[in-house]
Amino acid sequence: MSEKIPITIITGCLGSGKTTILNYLLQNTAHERFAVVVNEFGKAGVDHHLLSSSEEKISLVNSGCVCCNAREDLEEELKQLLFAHEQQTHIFDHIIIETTGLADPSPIVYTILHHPMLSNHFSIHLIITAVDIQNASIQMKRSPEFVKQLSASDRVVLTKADLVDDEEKIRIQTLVQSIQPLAHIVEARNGKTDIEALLQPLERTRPHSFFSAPTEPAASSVQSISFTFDQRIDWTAFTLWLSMLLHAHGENVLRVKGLLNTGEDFPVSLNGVQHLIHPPAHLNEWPTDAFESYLVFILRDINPQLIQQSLSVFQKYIGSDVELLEYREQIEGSLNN
Amino acid sequence: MCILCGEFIEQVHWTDTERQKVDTVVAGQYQRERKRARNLRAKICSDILSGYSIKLKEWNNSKFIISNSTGKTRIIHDLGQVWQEAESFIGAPVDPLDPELLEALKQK
Repeated sequence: MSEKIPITIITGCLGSGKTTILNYLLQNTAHERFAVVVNEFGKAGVDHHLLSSSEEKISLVNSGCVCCNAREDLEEELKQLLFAHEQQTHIFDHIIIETTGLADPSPIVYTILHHPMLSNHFSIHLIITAVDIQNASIQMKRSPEFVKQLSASDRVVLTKADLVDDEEKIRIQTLVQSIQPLAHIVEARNGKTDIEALLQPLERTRPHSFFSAPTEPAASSVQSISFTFDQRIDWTAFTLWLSMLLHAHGENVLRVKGLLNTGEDFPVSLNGVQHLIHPPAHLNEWPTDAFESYLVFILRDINPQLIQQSLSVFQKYIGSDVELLEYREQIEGSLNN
Repeated sequence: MCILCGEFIEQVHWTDTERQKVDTVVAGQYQRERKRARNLRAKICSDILSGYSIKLKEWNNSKFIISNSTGKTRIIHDLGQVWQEAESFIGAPVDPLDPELLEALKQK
């Protein structure tokens, strides 16, 4: 069977520049054939007119947002795209889904991963979140969806970077990293961004901001904690623990990501958003020199120390010492001060 | 499709998708390993759930059977369902962060 078709999801608040990024991306990638699904809130979609200058096939998922009533539309749309692809009437190598500003991306991930047909034809390549650098701090305070979007993302694009000074830019970067230490941050100036950095496949190396301490707490009860395991871990026992945790606290485990040494030749990469875990993949090699497993959680309203306690009790099953690598705490509402 | 009970399996739970090199296990070495992993999973689950008098048994390499001491029994397919059924038996989710559960496990 041929490779699965990658899907990239672009998300971000209203007016954060998702469409601009998408437009720029379509105009500046000649070597890849894209199909685009635009999800519009409200009956009359505007975005597809803006995008019509490109030659790609653009489909509009109408009437409402992907996350609630229109999920079947997305399913239908993807099926139609697949049909066209297999009939060779419209061949593409990559699908981009642009969500509404109000959408939480995880239901989209759910639809794709859990649909019996779609899950065999498509894989989630990346989730990109556009962050409006001018309005980020306000959005972070007001919109819980924004925090969800951020924590689910693999890449963050700071848009309108030309409109603010460096100091503000660094402040927002730190703010983003304090919620989402795993994502790579890319800048966009005047609607232009580094496409290569944006679209390169998810690297399996350690997150770049892993050890940098946050200088400014974010405006939410979102916290992250990272562990390392010094020995091989028992995959069966570990998945048992994690699935139990997700069953009990799934909606508050905003993100889990890790690279685990399960005693086989190569590590297993783990990536999950809320209840949803991507199918764990064996990598072909260890990305760093050390054969060390790590695991990062981004949590909302859960005390990270409880996770640590729980892991250390389950250690007798999992089979490795758990070491705390880093613990970040963010105090609610401290931005207001 | 499970040929024994005719149940349509729509999706594979993420905990069952680990070995990417062997998509379909037919026979031989991997089958044995798979069986071993399933037995181990049932054993650890039973161990964790013993405080709630719940037991998990592996069944014929295709299903698990979850039961409690009053005789309630369900046939389930994967780990996702274990916690769901355990929750319906107990009346509350099995929470790995619950201090009481952790204390009980520590005592073992």
